[in-house]
Amino acid sequence: MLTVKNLKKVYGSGEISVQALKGINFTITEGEYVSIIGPSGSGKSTLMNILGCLDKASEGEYILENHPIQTLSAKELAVVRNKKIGFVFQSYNLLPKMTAIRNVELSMIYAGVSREERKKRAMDVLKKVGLEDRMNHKPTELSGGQKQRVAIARALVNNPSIILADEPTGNLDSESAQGILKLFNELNAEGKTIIIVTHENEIARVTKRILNFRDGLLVSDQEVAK
Amino acid sequence: MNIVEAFLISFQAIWSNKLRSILTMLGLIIGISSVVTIVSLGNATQITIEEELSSLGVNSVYIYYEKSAIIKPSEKFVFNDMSYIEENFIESVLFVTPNISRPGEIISDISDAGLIFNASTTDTDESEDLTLIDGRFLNDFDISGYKKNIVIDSDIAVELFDDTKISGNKILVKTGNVSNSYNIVGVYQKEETIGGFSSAVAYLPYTTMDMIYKLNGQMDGIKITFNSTVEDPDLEKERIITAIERRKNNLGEEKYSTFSAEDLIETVSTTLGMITLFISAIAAISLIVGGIGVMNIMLVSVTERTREIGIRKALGAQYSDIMIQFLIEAVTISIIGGFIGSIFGGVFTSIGGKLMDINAVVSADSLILAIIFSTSIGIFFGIYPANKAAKLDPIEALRHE
Ligand SMILES: Nc1ncnc2c1ncn2[C@@H]1O[C@H](COP(=O)(O)OP(=O)(O)O)[C@@H](O)[C@H]1O
Ligand SMILES: [Mg+2]
Repeated sequence: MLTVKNLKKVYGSGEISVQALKGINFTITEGEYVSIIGPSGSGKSTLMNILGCLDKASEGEYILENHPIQTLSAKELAVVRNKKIGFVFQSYNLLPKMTAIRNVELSMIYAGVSREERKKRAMDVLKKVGLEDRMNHKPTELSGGQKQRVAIARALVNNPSIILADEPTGNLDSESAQGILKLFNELNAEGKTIIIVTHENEIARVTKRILNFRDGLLVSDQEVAK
Repeated sequence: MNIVEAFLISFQAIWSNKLRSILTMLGLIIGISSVVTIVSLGNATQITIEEELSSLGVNSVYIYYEKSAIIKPSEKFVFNDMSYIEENFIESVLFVTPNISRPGEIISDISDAGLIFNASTTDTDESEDLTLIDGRFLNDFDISGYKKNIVIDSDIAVELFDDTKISGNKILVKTGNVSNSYNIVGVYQKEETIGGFSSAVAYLPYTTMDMIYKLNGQMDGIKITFNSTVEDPDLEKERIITAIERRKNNLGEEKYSTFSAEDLIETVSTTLGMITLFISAIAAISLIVGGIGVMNIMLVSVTERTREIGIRKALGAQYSDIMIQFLIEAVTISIIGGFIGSIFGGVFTSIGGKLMDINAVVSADSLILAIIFSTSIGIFFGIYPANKAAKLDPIEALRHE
């Protein structure tokens, strides 16, 4: 469902340019549970932003569900972000002035879902992530783990093909982190394709496949032995 | 994203920055309220002046000597001309009255007053639209008998006698160095005028005026009041001028000019219209300043909310979604400002109307104009910031702190 071929990314130009990705190749099929590990600065976030259609590769191909993403217009990319991708950020990226349910509704607003339908679906998905009693709380009234659950609910609500999570537990204490990981496990068990970036091996070991990055290159790609 | 959604988002944004939004609106509030006030007061003044002037009689015309012309004694208007015109234009002319005004003084036991004396016929009360509240107006005996009878206005009556029911009383009329005793035969109601100031006028028989001011039977001008059935007073006026010129043997020399209330109304309207337009233009500048304020605050808002824009874009917002969101925010601020400004405009208009003693109301036109204006300002000054927000790169916006 997702293939990258010879993917490269260069930041800046001339002498100060940084080659963050130096030619990456891999394929991920539907229902996979993949972790991307590697030291800081190895290009993990750069890759995720490209996979999430937030940024464009400098070179190479990215094919998502048969769509050659690098050829799409800004307008089409917005639609792909809206319908096909659920992005979970390390820093949650919730809108601070909106309640949990309003935050979850956001992606549906841009999908043109009606008001009642939005409310219903937002409530369902918040229930699913275990926040039925926090729906009308603003982000400042929620713990880190709860905020990340709202963000996951928001990522799930348009029923995307793939969930991309860039260090989703990076800002959480280990207990909350465990809860979030459990949630991802459940989602994958239900069939969702998930890619998680992490630099912690314990987290990676929970997933089914590990892509190991170093210095802008994919250095190993292995199944996790269960 | 639909418009309702966009309005909700913009209300939220405006509400969460209440003070800043109000300060931004201030420019527009001042601009819109002054434009509404000026236009409304301008219109009201114009209507009031027109009404007041038409009470002079749209149906009348004054004939004067052309200012630059050299008038021979034989070319002056004389008292006989009045009956000549009345007889020859009996179909169209209602009254012909002399136009002679001279300054003088009235002295009573209690007090004295400076005023203007007007030479009258028995018709002057009607041609000047006077309302008698005591006694009678001048009659044929007063005219033919060179009577020292006088009709004064109610203000003078109160000033001199503390009462308006004073006909029959005697007063001393002083013209130049000469004083004579006169009988007050009538008192007329002094009309309110715009601005509240007009000189007092008393009416004397024209024959008496001729005697005391040594007019030699000559007049400064003639006032002709037409029958209301006359369809084209302009044409009639030309015919009368021609007849007078024939009579004075100066046909076509253009020694006489005319002036009617209609001419005056036209002049006053044009002048007032221009003044209103000019002041409105100045007030409109404050609208532009207000618009720049809106643009400024929207630019600040876009910078502050770059991350929010990034999040929205990451979740699938299109260029048009963000564009509409910020444009509607600018328009909402402007419309609220315009609305508050209109309310203030209404308040200022009624206060101004009271002060100026005119009947001033805010016209629906000026309100609609205010709303259209503020919406346009919102769109015009909102487009640049909104476009700036909408074309932000999602990842750049997300990185923004
Ligand atoms: N916006 C940027 N401009 C310039 N260089 C960048 C930018 N983002 C990341 N980089 C550089 O690209 C490399 C990879 O960064 P990143 O993908 O964030 O790594 P990771 O997420 O694995 O820590 C690093 O050297 C980083 O400094
Ligand atoms: Mg990173």
